Amino acid sequence: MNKKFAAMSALFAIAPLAANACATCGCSLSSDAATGYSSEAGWRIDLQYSYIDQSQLRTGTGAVSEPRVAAINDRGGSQEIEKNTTNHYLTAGVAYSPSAEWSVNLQLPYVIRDHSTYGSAGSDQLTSSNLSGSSFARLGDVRLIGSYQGLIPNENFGLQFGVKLPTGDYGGQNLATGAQVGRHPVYFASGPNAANGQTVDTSLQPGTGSTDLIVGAYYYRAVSQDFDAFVTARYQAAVFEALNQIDANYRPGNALTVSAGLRYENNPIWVPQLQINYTHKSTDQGALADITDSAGDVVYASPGLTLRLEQNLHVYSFIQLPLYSNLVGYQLFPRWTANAGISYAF
Amino acid sequence: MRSKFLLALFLAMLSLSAAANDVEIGRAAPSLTLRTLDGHSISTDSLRGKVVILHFWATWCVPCQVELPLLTAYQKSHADQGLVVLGFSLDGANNLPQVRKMASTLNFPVGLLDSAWAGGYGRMWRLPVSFVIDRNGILRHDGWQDDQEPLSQETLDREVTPLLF
Repeated sequence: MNKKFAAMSALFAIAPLAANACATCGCSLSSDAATGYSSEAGWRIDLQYSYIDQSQLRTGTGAVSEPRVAAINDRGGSQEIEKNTTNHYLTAGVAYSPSAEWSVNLQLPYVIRDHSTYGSAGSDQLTSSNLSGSSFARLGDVRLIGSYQGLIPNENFGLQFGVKLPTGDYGGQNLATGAQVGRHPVYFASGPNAANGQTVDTSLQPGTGSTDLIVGAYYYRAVSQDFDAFVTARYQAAVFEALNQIDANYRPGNALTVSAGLRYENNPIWVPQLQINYTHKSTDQGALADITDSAGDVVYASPGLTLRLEQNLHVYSFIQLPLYSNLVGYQLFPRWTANAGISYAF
Repeated sequence: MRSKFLLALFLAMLSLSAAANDVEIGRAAPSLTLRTLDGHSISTDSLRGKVVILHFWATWCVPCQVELPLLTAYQKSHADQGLVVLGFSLDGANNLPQVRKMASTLNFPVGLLDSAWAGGYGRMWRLPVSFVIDRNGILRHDGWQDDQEPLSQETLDREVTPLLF
């Protein structure tokens, strides 16, 4: 209802996506709604931390054991068995809103990722000596998002348009020649894959090498004296890929995220919230893509709390609990994720 | 286990909504202070002996455009009977020029509410909304109990005018 205070910022235009961490397990939390929407003009800076520990191997709607997947390789298959991927995302955001209707938001993610895999191991090869590991901490792909919410007088409905740029290191190895492609791709640092001079999967690099278009919309309103409701949707699709050579091409799958939730607004100091986040991720494409293990549908419940420390200073923290997942192939998936952030408007 | 946790969380949120505001007809009206556009402060406590209408509005609120002229006319015709109207705008500071323009057409004091949470009146979650306080500081009209139709002359005549005699 109240444009000024119903919430804080459409400037937090887009949650820092971690979709390239692996298939369908990225952060789907709407940080817009976490901090709230606003039509206040001015600047805003924010910092968000996301923790995603992909420690459970899943297929379809259930968990699957490593030996069961290894049995595929025993029968002559070639199915990678990933052990663990731990992601830390630290995303700095700068937003500027010249008016109540328009805003633009730049988000710079810093990605810290540890990954381990058995490769295409058989049942008798699921040992630590066959485990290959990698670790990096680098800049990811930045996002630039513009928002417009002047379509209706209340300014509680907004449209978003943006791009994800290939600023993060990306790449892999040409499947035919083994030559390195991309820009400073990460290599395995331990285990058999390191001994073989192998790069980490293209989907696990800091960036995707693609330029993506992002479109989205959001709507929020007070539904009672104590509750705001909101719904947001966002669609992201790659439109240009730097990895476009034969035997060395890669295009990340399109991703749709829809979030809806309630904010309990009884007290301006602390605002509990519950989000439901749905993500559909399409299959990655190209010779460097893990085509069989990169698509799926996921639903999270995300309870959280936003605190106002000062008039324009807010902190928030959320956990995400997966309610449902239907993953294509075999993918590492988190049992829970955590998000925390701080924002300051001036 | 996880679904029970989420259900408990949701129920806890609902149970918290019991104390949304301190407004109750027939009881002392919560105190509230208007900080006017020209820098003055007017507290409802200082208006004991007057009949006070607290009116919450915004420039972007369409129904407010109907109520504000009505309140201006009503204030003009009943000012000598001790009627005071206080206008609380929920516009942001970036809308101040529009608020001033609107306020120039009104004959009662106007100010920006510095938060959507108006003390004991709770969060201003819909607009317009009005409250009426009698000469003894007792709440006589609770806008939260209104349907969302604009305030009418009939409502003013029925609920406010008797308080002026």
